[in-house]
Amino acid sequence: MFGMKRRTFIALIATSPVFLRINMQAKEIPTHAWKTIASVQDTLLPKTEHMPSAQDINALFYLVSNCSSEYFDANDLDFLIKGASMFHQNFPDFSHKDTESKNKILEIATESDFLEKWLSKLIYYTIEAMFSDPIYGGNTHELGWTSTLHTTGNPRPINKYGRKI
Amino acid sequence: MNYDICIIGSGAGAGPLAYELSHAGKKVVILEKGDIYSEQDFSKDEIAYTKRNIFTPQLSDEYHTIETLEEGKWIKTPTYENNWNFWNGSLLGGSSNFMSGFFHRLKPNDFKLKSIYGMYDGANIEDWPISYEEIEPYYDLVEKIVGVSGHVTEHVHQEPRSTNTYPYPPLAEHPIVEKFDTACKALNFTPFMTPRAILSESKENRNPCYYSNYCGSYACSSGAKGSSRAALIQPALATGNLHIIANAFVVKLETDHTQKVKKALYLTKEGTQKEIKAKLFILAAQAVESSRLLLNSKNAAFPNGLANSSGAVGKNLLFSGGGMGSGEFDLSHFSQEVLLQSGLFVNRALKDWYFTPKFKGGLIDFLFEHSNPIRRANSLKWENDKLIFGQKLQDKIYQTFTTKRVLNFEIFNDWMPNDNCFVSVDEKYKDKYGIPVANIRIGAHPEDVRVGEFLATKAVRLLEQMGAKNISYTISPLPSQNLQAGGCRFGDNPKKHVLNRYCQSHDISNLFVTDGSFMPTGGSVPYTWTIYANAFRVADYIKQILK
Repeated sequence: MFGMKRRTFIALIATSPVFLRINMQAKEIPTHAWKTIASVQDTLLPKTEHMPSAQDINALFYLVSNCSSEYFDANDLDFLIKGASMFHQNFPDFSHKDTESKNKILEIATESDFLEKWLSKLIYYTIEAMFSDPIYGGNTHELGWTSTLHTTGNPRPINKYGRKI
Repeated sequence: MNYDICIIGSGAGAGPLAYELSHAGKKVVILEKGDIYSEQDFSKDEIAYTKRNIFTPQLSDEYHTIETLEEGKWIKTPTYENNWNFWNGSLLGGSSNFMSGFFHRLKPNDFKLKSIYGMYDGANIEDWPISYEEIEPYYDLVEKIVGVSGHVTEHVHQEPRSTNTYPYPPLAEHPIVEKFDTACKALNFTPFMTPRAILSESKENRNPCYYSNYCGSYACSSGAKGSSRAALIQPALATGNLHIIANAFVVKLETDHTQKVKKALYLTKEGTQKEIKAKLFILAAQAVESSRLLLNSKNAAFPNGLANSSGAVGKNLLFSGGGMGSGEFDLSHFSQEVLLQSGLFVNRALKDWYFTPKFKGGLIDFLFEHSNPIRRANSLKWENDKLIFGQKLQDKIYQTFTTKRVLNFEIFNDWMPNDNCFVSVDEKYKDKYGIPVANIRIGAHPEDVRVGEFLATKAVRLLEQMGAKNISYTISPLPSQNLQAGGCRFGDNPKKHVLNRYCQSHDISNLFVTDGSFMPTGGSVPYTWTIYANAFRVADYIKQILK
């Protein structure tokens, strides 16, 4: 599974069609779409000297576990999945490439308006995972905040999506 | 139960009425479209407060249509398509929960703009039927009851005040204000200390500001922010005379044979229709929704909608003209520790050009960019219209977050009322309950942009003098959706005006509208303080007529 970290693997298990049928009103999302997304996310936001990677902050799990929320933009989810399929069709070997090759592929992908928009949307949701409260499943150990010296506000949420205590 | 007063909405236009009338012993009921929250429920959750529609309806269920002028044609777009959300807070206290609390009074000449400056071609400006002197005691009352902190700055356009201090001392400030004040001195500008509706000291059950670092767009967890909920409705509840029905979406006001409003029909969250009877009805659902309800309440006796014999309901809608800009400060200006010091306020504004000899100017407020890291990081992914990613994006996020701070400025200038800015309803567009939604035509007057550009040059000069880097600004004819007023003008002529000088319908004597709808012109400041003050003024009048 292309060197996947354990938490990514767990996230993918949670994306089985049965799980999504329950939460997405019978809308099945193929597992290969999530695999593509996971692989691209880690190239879009890789580990650097100062910053955690998409995998480090559990970006795929964040997306999987929040996309079935009533508050998640259904159009965005649809777009993310369609984009993943198109990307996979165009670049089927992406996940097997080295970092330099992956970056070159993404550069090529940005020449397509559709894929550039898809990558932009994927960056957005990866950034959500990096900087949202860990209660949503991302920002593991508050790595997004601590890496950037960000002081978060208090009180922190006890419930997701502003639900009353 | 029959109530004395039924108030529709619970924001800035509603709170003072609930406060005053419940304290006067009247039985008051509030019908609030959203839910009831208290301080304990609030948090600094960027996802919930700024990235999802938690405190507003889902646009797929309840939306508006927006008309904008494109290539000479008015094009109508439902907001579920463009994601432009004109709901500003469906919860107890309404959008006042999320305000930044920049509290500026109007000035005497704001009440007589037409007399001072004459007509602007294409603009429907007119003088208010009341003067500054009539509302001044109520501005003062708001300072004390809602709580305003600050220091009175003497300047050329200073409005008369019945006191020379604010009841609460200024909030703590970031050291950047020293640069601001020094730059003002060099440029011969007056550094104006912005009053805030945020308590710097405790008040009854409300705790003072604890400098949470997440303020604007967030509900306050200490009760320091002077929301209608914290400052007015909670004390009103303590009288035992106020009852709140939450999740009650009022869809129609029904009149009786005496041409008075008899009852409000509302839908529960589940869509069940219920009704409330009262002797007197106060509409304060924010300008767009108040006009919508009046228009949707048409009946045989009032075929054009309630309170609309003048045909003026929905007309001359106001937003705020202007725009915003910014400049960057970095480690060449401050140590990292000082630069990134969180929570402290800037609280500075420029009012030197609030009035100019030839035209009405406006206000420039300065504030740090909101902390929201998701928004800030996401804004860094484009360079010269090209998407950046990988190491380059990560380095940019790190560098920006750890070595830079953005000082924003927000420009407020009068939105010129005009024939192409109004609220209407269209039977073709209905929400999930089958109720026609509000259509908002947004036509800006050229003066709005011209004045905004004029003020932006002043703000840029100041930022340059402060040594800011990467200074930029945008002035737009498209407004911010949270600053709404107009649509039910008050005035003495029943043929022209929806409301009389006490915000009472000329047509229906037991119907008042007390959100920002009454304003003929909006001035060049955020509206909340004036809405609060006017609502206290109307409350005094209602107490008199109910004696």
